[in-house]
Amino acid sequence: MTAFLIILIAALFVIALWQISKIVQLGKSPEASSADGEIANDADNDRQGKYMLYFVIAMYVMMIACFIGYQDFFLPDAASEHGAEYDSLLILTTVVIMIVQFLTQALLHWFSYKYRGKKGQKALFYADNDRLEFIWTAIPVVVLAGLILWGGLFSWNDIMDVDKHEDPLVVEVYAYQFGWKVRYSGVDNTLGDANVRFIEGSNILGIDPTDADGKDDMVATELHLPVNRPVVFNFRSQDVLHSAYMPHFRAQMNVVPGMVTKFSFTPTVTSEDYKSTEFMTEKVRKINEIRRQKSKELEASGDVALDPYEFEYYLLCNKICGASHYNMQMKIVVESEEDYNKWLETQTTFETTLANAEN
Amino acid sequence: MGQVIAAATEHGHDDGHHHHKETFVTKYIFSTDHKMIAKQYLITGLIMGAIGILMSVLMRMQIANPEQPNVIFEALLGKWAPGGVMDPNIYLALVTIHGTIMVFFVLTAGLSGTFSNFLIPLQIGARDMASGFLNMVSYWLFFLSSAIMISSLFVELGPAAAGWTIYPPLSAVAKAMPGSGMGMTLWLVSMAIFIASSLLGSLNYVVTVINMRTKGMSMTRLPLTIWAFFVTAIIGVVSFPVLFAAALLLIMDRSFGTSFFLSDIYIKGEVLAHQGGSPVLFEHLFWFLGHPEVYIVLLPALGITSEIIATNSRKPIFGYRAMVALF
Ligand SMILES: [Cu+2]
Repeated sequence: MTAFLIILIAALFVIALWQISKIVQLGKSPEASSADGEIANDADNDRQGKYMLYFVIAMYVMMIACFIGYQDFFLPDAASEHGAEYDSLLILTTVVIMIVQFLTQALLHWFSYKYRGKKGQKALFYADNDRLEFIWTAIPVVVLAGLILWGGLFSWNDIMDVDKHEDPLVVEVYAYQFGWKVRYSGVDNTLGDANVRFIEGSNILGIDPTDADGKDDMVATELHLPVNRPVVFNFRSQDVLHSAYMPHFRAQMNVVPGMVTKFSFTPTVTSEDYKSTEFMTEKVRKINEIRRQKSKELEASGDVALDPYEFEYYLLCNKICGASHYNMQMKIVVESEEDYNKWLETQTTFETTLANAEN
Repeated sequence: MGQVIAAATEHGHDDGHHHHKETFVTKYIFSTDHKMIAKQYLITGLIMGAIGILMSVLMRMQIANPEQPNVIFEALLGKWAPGGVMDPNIYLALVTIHGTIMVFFVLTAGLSGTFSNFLIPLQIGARDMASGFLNMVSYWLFFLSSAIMISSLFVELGPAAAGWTIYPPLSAVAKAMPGSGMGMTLWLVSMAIFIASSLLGSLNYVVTVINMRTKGMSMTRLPLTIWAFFVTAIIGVVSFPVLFAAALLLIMDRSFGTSFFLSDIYIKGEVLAHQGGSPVLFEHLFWFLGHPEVYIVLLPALGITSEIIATNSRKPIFGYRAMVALF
């Protein structure tokens, strides 16, 4: 593989040099470069025209093969309420683009083939047709405006409106180099004030110790969410820009030091249910098949075998933030209301944390 | 009669001697000839492109076999690939410098610098650019900024690594990552010089197209290629200064303790004094260039292809006026 790449680089260098020498040649004198072999004849034109046709066919075959072959790598169904709307928008846009792409590319290559150079053939002089131009400018304008307005803008406004929910769960997601913390707002469902200038000892998130709202806040290392209850996330960063990316919930928000950003969604599928979908069980089975093969090789060479893979929701960092950016993630657990409450009871409030630190 | 001819040739000879005394240096190095400057841009752009390609090959090798030792990494990256395993910071540095080189040095300077310089005077019927001297300065500033960008690969803590968008605070705080020290300083210096070069070039293209067209070459008869270069140059003149401002403010934040983009930052166990700025401001300034940049990259190629296809099908361009309006 590496040898191949080296050869590839060498080849690219040679091509670059060859092209430069060709340009220098072309720049010299017209007589020198117009030797007989350089002028295209009917046979050349015929061959090139067919190549155009083969190329577009090969491109479509490859495209369709990729869509079928890489199905496993597509994101599985959305696990949030707005996710379905988001996905249908994505599919609608993709379908429209595919139709236009199919038509324009097919025409471009078909015409190159059909009107390939022939001796004695004369091109039709046809410089303008206002009606034709108007039609193929107006149609894309209308379609695009429709996509942007009805599809994009209304969905965007609806999804980005964090105040639309009744009785949402308020949660803070806190980013630092390189990890995440969650702060639950406790019984009052209100987060206490916070600023990095309060960070000290066990107060790792900089919660204001004098703010009464913060006393019942709880800091956790895993994001647990009750299913079917809207969640309003408040994002805060301690050092540099991060981005909270929750692909299965179709959610992403910049996490900016010095300000609070917000996003809200309603998770609709518990972790357990998501794991047992047909798509996911099949995917996990395939991954573990590969891992088993790999483990055999590893054990044969005296290494430790790989653990079997199990699916979990994850929150990932999606903005370059430093050396361990690639590994900056946090597990998300979506569970029933009872399980969530049970888990919440095991967490420590900020008040207790401070009291423990003093003792 | 003979005398007259003799006098004329003598005069002509004298004249030629005066104006066309070309040495190797004035012809190939500090040339003010638009064709030579175009070739200089082409060769520099191609070399930068080859370096950018090499970087993307290294990145793909790392992605194909993550965290695996590789003799090529050891040979090429040295101390940044201890035992042949690529350091994550260097992966990010490759992402950053690859992006910067490809977007700015290849697709902006390499594309516009080569084709605008070569084709504008030839296709509008002008002798040369409006200012050959500024054109030369533009190339040499580009060369200087390329040299600085490449030299940043060799500083002790590595080149800039905050992504090609260099968002602060990651790029502003030296403690945030190794590449945000000397490497980022060199990136900013290089880009400041690059923007100066790009502005000189673009101004020259705009002025040449407006003022130096030959008799009868009205704007509505301008080849579509030239229209594309012309609009590209205008977009460049309008948007690059904003990136320059962003870079300048970032330099102030980094070196003189201002807080344009920084606020409430706790890093490596201490709170920074910066207060009241916003990284989002930088994002806006950056993308004021970043969005038009896609047109700077796309339009020359659109103009060139429309004309090549039209010429080779022996037909006039269909809907010339509509295309110009779309530009
Ligand atoms: Cu991060």
